[in-house]
Amino acid sequence: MLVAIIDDNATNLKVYVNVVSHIPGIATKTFQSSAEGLAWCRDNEPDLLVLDYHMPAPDGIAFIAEYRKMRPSAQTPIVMITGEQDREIRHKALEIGASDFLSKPADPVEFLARVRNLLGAVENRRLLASRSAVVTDMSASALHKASANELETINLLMRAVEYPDNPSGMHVVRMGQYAALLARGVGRSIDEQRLLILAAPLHDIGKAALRDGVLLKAGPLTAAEWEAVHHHPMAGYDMLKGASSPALKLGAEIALYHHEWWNGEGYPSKLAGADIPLSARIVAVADAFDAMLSDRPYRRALTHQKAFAELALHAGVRYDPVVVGAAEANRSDMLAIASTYADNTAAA
Amino acid sequence: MTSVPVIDRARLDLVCMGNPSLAGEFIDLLIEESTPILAGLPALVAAGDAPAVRESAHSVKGIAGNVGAARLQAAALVLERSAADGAAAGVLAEQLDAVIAALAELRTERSTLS
Repeated sequence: MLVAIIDDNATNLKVYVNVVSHIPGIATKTFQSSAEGLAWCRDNEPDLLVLDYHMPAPDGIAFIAEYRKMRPSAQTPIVMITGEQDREIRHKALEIGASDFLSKPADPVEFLARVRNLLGAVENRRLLASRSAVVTDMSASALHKASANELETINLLMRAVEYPDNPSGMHVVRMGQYAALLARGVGRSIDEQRLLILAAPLHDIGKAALRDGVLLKAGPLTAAEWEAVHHHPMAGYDMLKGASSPALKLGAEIALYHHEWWNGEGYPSKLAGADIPLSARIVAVADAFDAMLSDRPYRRALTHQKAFAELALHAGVRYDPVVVGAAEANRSDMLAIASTYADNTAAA
Repeated sequence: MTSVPVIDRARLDLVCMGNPSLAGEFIDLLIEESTPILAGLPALVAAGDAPAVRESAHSVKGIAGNVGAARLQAAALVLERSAADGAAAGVLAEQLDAVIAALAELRTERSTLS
């Protein structure tokens, strides 16, 4: 914690620094000029201020008034050092925001105790504030309990759909995480990121309409099989389009457009550029990245470097270059998702 | 004034807070800081600038009292009060001599500290 001490006499400063240094973990910043101290406080917020009353302008009272005006929300305790007989000055100081006083010459034992108590109060206030934040988070969690249930249901459903490809069910979990990260990377709101965690896993729900064996087939697909594969976006959309839940509605959009290419050569609608909904452009990058880091019947997983290089190679062709840029910019987080939700970890 | 010790060891020990090697440093700093203030006082007394005399005496009193330089503190207090009460220049000059003498005594006694 940082204690700023302001007194126009160097001897007094040395005495006060010696007192305060008896508290472990305390740093001190001293000023012999109150004007310089005040200027420093414009850019710095100490945990405690100790200041003499009797100083060339601004004196202790003027300093406190200016500090409180400058930092109206700061709750910095301020200890002012005054003569015992200065009752009127003390009352005035209390009025404008002094927290405590020390009488001159300051008793080091009393000084130490007061500083310790005030810093303890600062710590306690911060602790309470952080607990309050936790409570707020818990309330938010309660509110999102329904979302959590929905996520579990979606992930289990998609695990069933993806089972032949990915028995662990972790692909769909990773998809939600990558999509949320990329949404954050392109500046979308927290709510949009949260919705993508729910909706992105649904991208391939249309695969439920494919005949068994097509997806895992090691050899080339027949024309009919290709047609069936190309139909899965529309099938997925059909399954979700009537839903009322925002997550399922967004899932319908993603299911329908996640195979569109940035250059308009994807399927099924051959949309190009920003005509493709952002959710689908995000999921396309997430899906490609996840596929590249996974073994397939016809190839081994790519290295991380190769996967990012592939994304970069196809940026502006298959993928939205801005989304690819977000993946690149969040490289370590992308890889953290890959390892945290690897196939050999337990499914949610 | 000689009834007041040059250094109040109890006070000086108190501010050292268990580190006796600081005693000499505190007194050195006090001497260094007081010397220019006292050097300016004869001119202020001669000019009859009572508020400025009072202000300077107040400063010396405060820092001396903080580190236990009791005689200097007491002498400065007398001067401060006289200046506040509008005492005659001759009285202030006499009291200033006592303050200067107390600082000289402090310099001498400094050698007894580590």
